[in-house]
Amino acid sequence: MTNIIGTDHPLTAAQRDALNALLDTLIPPSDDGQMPGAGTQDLDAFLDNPTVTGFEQTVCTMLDALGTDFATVSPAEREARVSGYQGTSPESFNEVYLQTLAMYYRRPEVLQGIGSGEGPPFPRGNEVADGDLSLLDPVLRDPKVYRPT
Amino acid sequence: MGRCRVREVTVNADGMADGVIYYDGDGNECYQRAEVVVMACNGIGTPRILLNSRSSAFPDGLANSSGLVGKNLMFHPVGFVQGVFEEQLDSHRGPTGCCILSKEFYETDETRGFLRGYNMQITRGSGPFNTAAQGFASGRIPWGKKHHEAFSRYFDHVASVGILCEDLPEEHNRVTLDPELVDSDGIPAPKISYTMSENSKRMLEHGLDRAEEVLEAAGAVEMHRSGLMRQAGWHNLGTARMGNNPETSVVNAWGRSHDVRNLFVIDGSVFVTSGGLNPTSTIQALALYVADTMKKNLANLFD
Repeated sequence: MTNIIGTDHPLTAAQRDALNALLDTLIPPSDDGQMPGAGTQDLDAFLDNPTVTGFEQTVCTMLDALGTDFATVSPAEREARVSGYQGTSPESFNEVYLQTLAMYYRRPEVLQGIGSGEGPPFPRGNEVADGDLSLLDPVLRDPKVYRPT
Repeated sequence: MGRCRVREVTVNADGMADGVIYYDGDGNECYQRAEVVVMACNGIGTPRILLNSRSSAFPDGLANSSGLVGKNLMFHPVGFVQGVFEEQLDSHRGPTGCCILSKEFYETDETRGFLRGYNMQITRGSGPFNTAAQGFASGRIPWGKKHHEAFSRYFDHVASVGILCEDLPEEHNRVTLDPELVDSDGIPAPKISYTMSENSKRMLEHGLDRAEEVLEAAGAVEMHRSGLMRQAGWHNLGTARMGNNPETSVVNAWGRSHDVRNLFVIDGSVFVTSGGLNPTSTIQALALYVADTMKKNLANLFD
């Protein structure tokens, strides 16, 4: 597990800036301002990915490939570099992107933004609307299509 | 006892099962004596052990006088069509397994060009992460500036119709013992030989066509058809089939081996066709039925 003490974090400040720039490139804020970008203050949680062995190293390798100036170049240039990396290292890219999605689509403000509401949708917290069971009348009028046992 | 692997069922001079040889978690060979042996390893594990239980009395494997142990292996060929709708469906909520089940095409209608049929299973859409991840894999929801627009098109706007086919028995689909490959205890590995039948292929295509019709009638504005899925439907069935005739089946109506009167099978091996639906409930019902039958017939169980 990643050490939660910030000063022991494996990423340098520059790498943290680059990682946030990467996350905001993968999922940028929406034009209408309704959806935030994937950049986050909680990079420790992002790096703590138990499903991929050596995930931190994968991220560091990707950041190295994107260049030390990645956080300062234009959004178009960032996209071009990320596309290039995706082309040359698709497996590593997929690992980073899937973790980006996993972290992004659990954030309360994101779930609120997509109309899902906070927390798991099932089984608690959602009322089931009354259905119109008369829709089944034509089905119930159909002849039996199965054999008796 | 945990982490044990049975290598073979042993028999006594009377041809009755009298125990099992197994390896414990540390790889030590052990023996467990038994009055009754009940196989519950499903359609691959059960024939693997029976075929590996060879003796002078049972040179072709235990309970195999019919030659059918391991044969007639069946799965459940599965495909689905995903429909995308303009209106919001609330489709990330609710049970995922199956919201509506239709058996309209379950029974044989020879005008369709195949025997037996399939279940149509209407399932809801995915939650946020799976919507985005599956959309990325399919190329429909990219990363970058177009992510949000594409995501909103699919999230909460999807319903799918799955087709689960009733695979039928064919003796060339079978489990045998691999002549070379063994597990870490040296037990021969099962070797699976399976070719999807033309009947099942036609059945699946028919079902996918009907699924598209259903989704179109329901108002889908976009459809994505996924044929035979490699990662689904691997229910292992049929390799110790049940029947009254010892020449054409492995166990009788009690789940008892025709050949070995104190050997029972209570798993998916005893299925005679696969049935066009997920089999766990039926396997559970059969296991309870066999156990109940054993209890009721203790006095003449081995007659």
